Amino acid sequence: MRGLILIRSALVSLFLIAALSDRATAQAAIGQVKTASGEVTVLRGGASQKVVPGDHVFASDVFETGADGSVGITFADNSMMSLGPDSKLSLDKFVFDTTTHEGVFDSSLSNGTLAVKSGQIVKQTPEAMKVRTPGALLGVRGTEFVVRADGGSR
Amino acid sequence: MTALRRLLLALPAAAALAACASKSNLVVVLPEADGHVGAVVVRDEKGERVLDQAYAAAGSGAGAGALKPVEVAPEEVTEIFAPALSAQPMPPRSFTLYFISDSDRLTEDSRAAFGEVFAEVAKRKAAEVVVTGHTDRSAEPGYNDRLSLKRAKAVRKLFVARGLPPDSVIAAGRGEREPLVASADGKREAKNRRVEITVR
Repeated sequence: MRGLILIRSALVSLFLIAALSDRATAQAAIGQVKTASGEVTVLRGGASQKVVPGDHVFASDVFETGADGSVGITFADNSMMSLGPDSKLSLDKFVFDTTTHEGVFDSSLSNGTLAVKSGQIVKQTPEAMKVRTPGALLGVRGTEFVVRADGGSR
Repeated sequence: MTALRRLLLALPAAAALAACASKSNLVVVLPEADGHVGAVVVRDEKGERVLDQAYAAAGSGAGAGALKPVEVAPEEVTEIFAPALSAQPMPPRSFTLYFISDSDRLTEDSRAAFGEVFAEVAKRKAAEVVVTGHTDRSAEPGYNDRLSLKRAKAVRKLFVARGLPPDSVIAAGRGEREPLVASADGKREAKNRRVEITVR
């Protein structure tokens, strides 16, 4: 009888651990793909997949476009980014508090063209949004700008 | 003389080539639709530069070199960035609905206005809605944080009831932090008892 109870409580705690860790690993989306045409892929958790409008976007995603590709994304703080062809953008870090509007948005454009409209993170904290390029680090005070990157690796 | 002439002839071509090479890496600040111009701070191995005028730009040749100021015409931006610019999502649109004092019930006018908000949602592909609740300053900040979230959640329910997927509607509370009109602490102010709805 005692053994049974032990097994039962062990099972219950296993279940609880599973439930908690599931919640810890279930990442919240940081944005959504609104436009996509031509070849657009995202590298997420080591796997590359095709991108279509409506897809959720997550921190650490790396977006790549082909010679005919372009993609437009809106983020949780209303900022927007869009890529032209032959581009590669890493969404390195995105944190946003919907109550205080404090946050951090770090990304890297290693190749191609990027158009940006900053959102509430920058409005609350100028330069909390940064875009890294092969030669520079851009601190965003708002709101609209474009970036072209050519790391010279090709 | 011939050598000099040849040099003079070659100069514009060389200048054009140099101009092109110095824009392989490029940052350009654009004017916003309302004419306002923001700013971008460029930091690299050579230091720091603030770009804060319309079409202010910095560029460099291919590779990881420091960026220098460059002249960029608006037409050039259009030419280089056309695919990226045309892939930009529709700009978010915002609406405000108002509440009865100390409650999560919409005023009669705002209940009627909800239809217009939903029409904007129906118009968009992969629409998302962010409902941010606000309060006036008639109660304590902690209470107002809770009341503002309650208001946002009440409006969120209206969207879900109309068929929007639950994970496409986000509710958040901002308490009394962001009044629409300034008011003294402890005072009621109908214009601040609201939700702001962003459709994107």
